[in-house]
This record gives sequence, structure tokens and C-alpha cells, in this order.
Amino acid sequence: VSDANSVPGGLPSPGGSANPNAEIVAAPAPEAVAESGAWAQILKAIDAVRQRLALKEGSLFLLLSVAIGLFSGLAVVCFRVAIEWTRIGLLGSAISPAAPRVFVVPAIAGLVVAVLVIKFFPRVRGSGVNQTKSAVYISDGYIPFQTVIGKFVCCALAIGSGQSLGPEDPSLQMGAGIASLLGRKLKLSRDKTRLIAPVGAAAGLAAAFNAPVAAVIFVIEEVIGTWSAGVLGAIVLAAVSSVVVSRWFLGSEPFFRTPAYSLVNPLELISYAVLGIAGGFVSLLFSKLLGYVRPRLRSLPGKSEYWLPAAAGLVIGIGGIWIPQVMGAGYDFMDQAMHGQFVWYFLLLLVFGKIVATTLSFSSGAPGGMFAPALFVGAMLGAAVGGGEHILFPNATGPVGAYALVGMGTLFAGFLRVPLTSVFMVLEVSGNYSIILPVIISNAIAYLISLRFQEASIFDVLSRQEGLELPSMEEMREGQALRVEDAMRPPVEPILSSDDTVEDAILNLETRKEAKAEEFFTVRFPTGRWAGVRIPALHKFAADGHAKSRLADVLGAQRLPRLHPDQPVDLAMRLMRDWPYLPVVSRANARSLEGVLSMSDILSAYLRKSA
Amino acid sequence: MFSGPPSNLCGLAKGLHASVAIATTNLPESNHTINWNLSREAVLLLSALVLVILFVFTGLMARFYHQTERSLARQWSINGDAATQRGDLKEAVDDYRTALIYSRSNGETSSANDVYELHLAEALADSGHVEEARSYFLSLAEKQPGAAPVNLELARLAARQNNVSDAARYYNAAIFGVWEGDPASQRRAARIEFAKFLLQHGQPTEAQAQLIALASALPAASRADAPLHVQAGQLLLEAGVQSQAFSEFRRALLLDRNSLDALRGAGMAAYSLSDYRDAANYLERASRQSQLGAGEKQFLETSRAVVAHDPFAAGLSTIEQARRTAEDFSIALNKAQACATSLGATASQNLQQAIASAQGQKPQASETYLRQHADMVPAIMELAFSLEDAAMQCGPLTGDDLALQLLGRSRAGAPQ
Repeated sequence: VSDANSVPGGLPSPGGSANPNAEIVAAPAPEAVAESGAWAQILKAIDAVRQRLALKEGSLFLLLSVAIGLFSGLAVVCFRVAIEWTRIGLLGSAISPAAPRVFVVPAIAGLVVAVLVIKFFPRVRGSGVNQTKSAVYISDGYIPFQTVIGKFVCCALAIGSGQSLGPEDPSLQMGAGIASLLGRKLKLSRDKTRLIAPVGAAAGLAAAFNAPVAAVIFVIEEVIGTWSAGVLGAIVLAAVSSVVVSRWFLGSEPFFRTPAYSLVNPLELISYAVLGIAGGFVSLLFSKLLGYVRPRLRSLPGKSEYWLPAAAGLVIGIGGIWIPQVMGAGYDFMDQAMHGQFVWYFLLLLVFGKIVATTLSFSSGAPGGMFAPALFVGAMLGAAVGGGEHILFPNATGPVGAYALVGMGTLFAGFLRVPLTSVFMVLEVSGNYSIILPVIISNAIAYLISLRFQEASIFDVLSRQEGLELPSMEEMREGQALRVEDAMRPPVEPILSSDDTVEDAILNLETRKEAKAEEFFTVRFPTGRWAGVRIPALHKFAADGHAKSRLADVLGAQRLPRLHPDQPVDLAMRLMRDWPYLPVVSRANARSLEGVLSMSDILSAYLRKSA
Repeated sequence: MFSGPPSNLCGLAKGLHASVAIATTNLPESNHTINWNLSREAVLLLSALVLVILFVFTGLMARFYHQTERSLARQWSINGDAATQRGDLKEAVDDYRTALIYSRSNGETSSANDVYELHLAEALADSGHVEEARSYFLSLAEKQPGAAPVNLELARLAARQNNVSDAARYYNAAIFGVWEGDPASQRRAARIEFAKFLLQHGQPTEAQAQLIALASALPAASRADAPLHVQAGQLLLEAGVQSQAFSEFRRALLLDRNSLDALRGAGMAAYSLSDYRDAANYLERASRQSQLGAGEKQFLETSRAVVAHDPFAAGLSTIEQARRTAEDFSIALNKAQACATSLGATASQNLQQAIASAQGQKPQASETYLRQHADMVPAIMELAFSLEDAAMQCGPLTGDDLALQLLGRSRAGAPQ
């Protein structure tokens, strides 16, 4: 009997190496032995067919992506329905809940959530993005299924009861958890198991956001950090599958009725630049406030973790009596803001009210996401700027809704610091590509302001507060990779030609005083290939009777790998095996030697950079 | 190829996450270990099974959720209707908005969703949130380009903003669009509204086209249809199409001979058409039913005067014709002389010449002379008309003088 868990290249099952269900069939009865020959043949044939039909891991991975998408889509549908039912059940079906309910429900629900989180689901704290990243980078993609259940229950209760949090990030984590479970059960290899969680994350986010492209880009931008064809295919498949499921059950109608937009006057772009500046500073305020309040609340003594969500709920509830818009995810109010429902000063009140409410909710330890609050703040800010513009310049043509839409992307770029996702999110939500220019201008400005005044993105800040050193995708994006041109040095003279005879080469080198025996000299071939040779080797060729032979003839077929100045140094390090240095040649002319690169050059370059 | 451990279908049934092997090593003629290796396949099969179960569960849950949503949407829409009836538009907007929240994501009830959206948009428009209302209407129009009520609301919003071209476009779309329930009357109402809008915005020619089209499609089956003809007639009168207006009033009177509005309208239309006999007739009938307004009274008196002073009326005896002519001449001359006296030296040459000419014709304008020379009646009357026209220098004419002037103009075919 084989070991059930000895999958080559795979991970041991979480249950351990023992196979609890393994069984050995006892020796057959004598009458069975007569039939066993034919039976064995049948089984052998079936086994052969099965082996032929069995999926390779790559194909399985893609098939699994679709399955993950379907599971995640179903989970997100149930999650959204659960949030809605919770809200209707606890706060009533009206847009503005009755004051007594608003006063009592978030506080009591906060207490229940706290107990659930502390006693049963300790891993569900936070938004879900960093938790998914930590699963990928720390636990090889392992997310306990208990976390999925906990996230579902606690977030539905927290968001449904009016905590100022969103369902997207939890959906992302639930998708990752489902993917992780399937990956474990299918005993995927370590690499695939690690990659499967982001696939699920994309599926969860896509279903929650009804925006597959933005979800795919977010996961690549913030969770994985790299574009790899294999992963991309799986992520896209999962995201599309989940969105199909979500639309199947919940309809394909977008969250917002986006206004028709066309840029009539290019001067209007100035207003969007103003929105970008405002968005950048509001993002800063949001990040700084969250970064400041959260560790302080969490470090409160006693049983603070029990009563903090309740206290946050109470404060939000009291605020919600006057501005119920800041409670919950707030998508309906974003829609209203897009259609000029609120005046600009009320919109600004909503901006700051939502920032405070979200900071309290999130810092209290109530689980929930920050996507929806960021969108809410962005939409309100955008609508306020748009409304202000219409007051100052009555002839302005841009609808307030367009500003609100751009504002959403602006906060995504400035607060969450995901510039690509921010652009695609707005385009996908609006379905209007003529808005791309304002979006790019506004988002770029907000992103640069946030980058200038805040060292790390909010996700990095939060993970560091947790004591986790997760890789910063932003640092990876923004950090400058060391290139060959930064490390290379001028070539060692003279450069030999492959047509030189061994005798001429020795003469050439010996006439130069600086030529040392241990030096490695490059030999240029007419084809643009390069080889290397040392003086002792040349003397040996001469001693062996090849003094009159051309270098091309004595050096054999082995050639040096070539580098180009723009290539990353880590590529050079991979190529640099047995050779002391490699030639760096021009991309335009492979015969033109621009420098050479040795391992010591690379180390020196790294030292210089770190200094 | 998966290279996991061997397993069998028993294993699949017992514990699907673990691989199970079946060994046939005890069989003497076959030492073959069957490598079922069903662990992954088993998990996939189980996943498919769970997926199906979840699909069913989610489907049921989603259905129940949508039913709850529909019911909430209906309830909030009813609340909105009640608030609208109370005139509490703010609450109506909130209620319809809530209805829409519960209805919007529900694909099965797109028609109900459109109704809520329409109600919300109407409430928004009525409460002054024009832009948001327009956004909803445009969204509805995008979904149902031929929906007449939506186009009518868009037309009203454009009309409210004095956007004539957009209003005309949407009104036309409403008139030729799809109406649910009594499309003819809905179209008629839309056309009337459009015509009124055009008249208000100084576009009588376009209004005339709409009104003529309206009049041609009006039913004339029963007395109940009379008000429609009256309304059409009134608008036609406003648009300056008096003859069409008169015929509409007459059609109304054919359906309801005692229709006060039709009598009044017909009287006014006849007056505009210089048909003073009919004008007097209709206005008199109207005055017998109800007290006339000041303007209508004035028209009635003037019409009566015109009829009374008209020597060209059919069926008059020569004696009566001569009497009227002589009387008209005398009235006109007196008026002209009084005017000239009041003006003194500033009297126009035209007035003075007319008086001089009349003085010269005075013998021929006597009743006795005219009885014997009936052929002189037109010439004398022309003189009387020119005297009245010249007397206009002293201001607008009234009473018999106005009647004579109108009579003169109607003889000349001039507009009134």
C-alpha cells in the first residue's frame, strides 16, 4: 500500500502522513482466485484508461480555477444576501432607519461580533487583503476553512448592523479560503497551493465588485505583484466564472447608474486635477487617521477587544441618527450622490463622517473591508468638487456624477494605492471610456500626493501594525531594479579576434604590461558571439602545436552568454556560472562590446546602491 | 499524470479526501496492484456534487431573497403613492427610492422596476430635482425608447427649461410612442400639451400643425366628446386658425347644442371671422345660459351693432336699407366732425378731406334720396367707412362707430 500523502512534489496533507482510510484487502477465498485473472485484466484496462484520461497538474489548475470561481461566486451571492437580510432584520427596510434601532443595533451587534471573533474566529479580523497576502507569503497559501465561515458570519453581522465597512475585501478572503481548501484537498504542489489563494481572491473580489477586470488587476497589483501568464489565465478564469455566477443570481445591473459623460471643454480637466489634489489629501487624512487610531485602540488595557466594536457601533449609531448615510457599505447613497441628490457641504460632511466612522469600525476590530468606504468617500468628495464647480462656473458641462465616479477612482489610487486598479475600476463600473482622461489625471495626482507624504500604503501600514513583514507590492513596483549597466565595467584590453592565431594572441597580450596571466580576455567572433581565454591557456595551445592555429579553431564550440546593458542583474547572476565575467554587448550590434560584468562587479554595485 | 497513491471506489465512498488502495497481491495469477489513484478525481467529483448542491441552495435562497425584495419594493411604492397623494413629495421621493433599491437588482421584475423608477423620476421632477429626474427618465428611455410616458416626462423637463428643440423631440416621441391603456386619449393629451407649449413659446405655425392633426383625429360619437372639440377649438383660436376653430365649435355644438363653452367659442370665432351675425347669435345663446364675461359682452354688443347697422344684410327692404345707410352716414359724419372739432388745427388733412367730401354728399345720403336711388348705398357707405377710419385720429372707436368700422373692414375683407 502506497503512502497516500507521498505525492511527488506535493505537500503532506494537513492531516498528517498516515492514511486513516487505507485498507488492505484480505486474501481472497479460493473460488475467487479462479475469477481473479479476468477481474484483474478488467481492472488493469480500466486503470489504463483512467491514467490516460487523468489531468496533468497544469490542466487541473485551470479547471480548478473555474471551480474556485463558481464556488466563490456562490459564496459571495450568499454573503451579499446575508448582509441584506441582516440589515433588513436589524435596521429595517427603510433607507434611513428609525432612531431607536440605529442607536441600539450597531452596539449590540458589535458586542456579538467581538465575542464571535475572540472566541471562535480569531483569524477573521481585518479587511481580508493582508490576511490573504500573509497566507500566500507565510503559510504557503493555507487559509483554514473556519476563517471563511467566520468571515461570512461576522462580516454579515457587522456590515448588516451598520458598521462602516464593506463586503469586498471579506469576499476576497473568502474566495481565497475556498481556493485554499480545494487546493489542499486536491493535494496540489506547494507552488500551486500558494498560487491558488490569489486565484480565489480574484474570484471573490470579482463577484463582490461585479467587476472582473478590476478584480484581476487588483490581485495582481496588490497580492501577487507579478504578471505571470500561467497565473493570469487562472485568475481570469476564476474571476469570470465568479462574476457569471454572481450575475446569474443577483442580476447584472451595476451598483450605480452612471451618468452619460463626454469631455466638452478640455479646461474642465483642471477641475479634475483639483479633485485629484483634494483626493490625495483626503486619502492622506484617511490613512494617517487609521494608522494612528488603530494601534492606540488595540493597545487599550483590559477587555477592550470585547467592548471596542460595541463602542464603535454605538458612536456610529448615534451619528447615524443624523447622517445614516455613513452606516454600512453605502452603495445606495453613492448612487444618490452621483445624481446630484446632495448639496456640496453635506457631501463634505459625509466625507469626513465616513472617514471617522470607518476608522472607528475598522480600528475596533470589527471585520470588514475598506473598499466600499474608500469608494464612498471618493464618490462624496468627487460630487462635492463637481457641485462646487457648478456653483463657481455655472456653464460647466461635466455632470456631478462624472466627478463622483472619478472621485471613487481617486480614493482608490490615493488611499489604497492601487493606481492601475483605480483606473480600470472606474472604466468598468462606468462602461464609458471617454472618462479615462479625467480618471488618469485625477488618480495620478492623488497617487503622487499620497506617495510623497505617506511612506507606505495602507495595506503595508496595517500589516506592519500586525507585526507582519509582508512583501510590499508598492515597493516592488516603485523600487528600481539594479541593471547590468549599473554594475558593468569597461572591457579588459586587448579584445582578441577569433581570426587571430594563438601565436599572435600571445604576442599581443605579452606586449601589454597590464595584461596579467589570471586575466580573462574576450575573443570576438565575426558572428557576434564571444568567448574568453586566459594567457596560460594560450601557451598550452601553442605547446600542443597549435601556435599557428586560429583562436576560432582551438577554442571549440563553447561561447559566452551575452548580456545587454538594460537587463536586470539577477539575470546576469543566473547566467554567470563558470565564467569569471560575461560580455555586455549593444542590442543594436552584438559585435560591439560595451563592457564586462563579473560577480564582484555585481556585489560592488549592490554595495554602492545600499550605501 | 497524477502520481498519488492507489485508491479505489470504496475509498471514494468512505473517505473521499484520502487515497485508498486495493491490492490484488494475494491473487496467484496476478500480482497486479491497481493504481486507481482516485484521490483527486474523487475530490473533483465531490466538489462537483457540492457545487450542484450549493447551486440549488443558492438558487432557492436567491429566489426567496428576490421575493422579499419584490414585496418590500411593492410596499414602499404603495407608501410613495400615498405620500404623493398627500402632496408630501419629499417622503414620496424617499419611498420610491427605497422601492427602487429593493427592485433594481431584480431582473425578473424589470417592468415593476421601471414603474418605480418612473414614479421616482416624476416625484423628483415635481419636487424640483430636475437633473436627477432627467437621469432616471433617460435611463428609462434608454431601456424603452418607445415608451411614451417617459418621453412625455422628458419633454416636460425640457419644456420646463425652455429647451424647445428637445421638448419638441420628446413630445413627438411621446405622441407617436407606445401608451398603455387608452392610447388615443393619451396621445391627444400629449398633443394638446405640445401645442400649448408651442403657443407659449411663440411658435403658432408649428402649433397649428399639431392642432389640425389633433382636430382631425377627434372622436365625434357622443355628447361626451363635445368638450374635446371645444378644447381643440380654443387652441385653434389661440393659434390663429379661426375657421378651423369655428368649425370645431360647431362640431361641438352638433354633439351638444347647449354647450356653453362651445357657444362662447363659436361666437368668438365667428366674430374673428367677421361673421357678426353668427357671433351675435352664438353669444346671445350663451348669454341666455350664463352671464358673459366683460370681453364677451363687448363682443356681443359690437356684433349686435354691426348686424343692426348693416345695410347690406340679405333680405332687407329698400326702405330699411336706405334708413340704415342714412343713419350710418349720419353717425360717421358726426363722429368725424366731433373729432375734427376736438383736434382743431391739428386735425389731419385726411379727416378734413373726408368731412368735406361727406358734406358734399349729404343730400345724396338722405333716407328719402336713397329710397329712390338704392344704387347709391354702397358709395354712401364707403364714405361713412372712410369717415370712421379718419376719426381714428381721435383714438379707438367704440359703440356704433366701432360697428361701422368693423362693417367696413369686413366689406373690404380686412382682418379684424
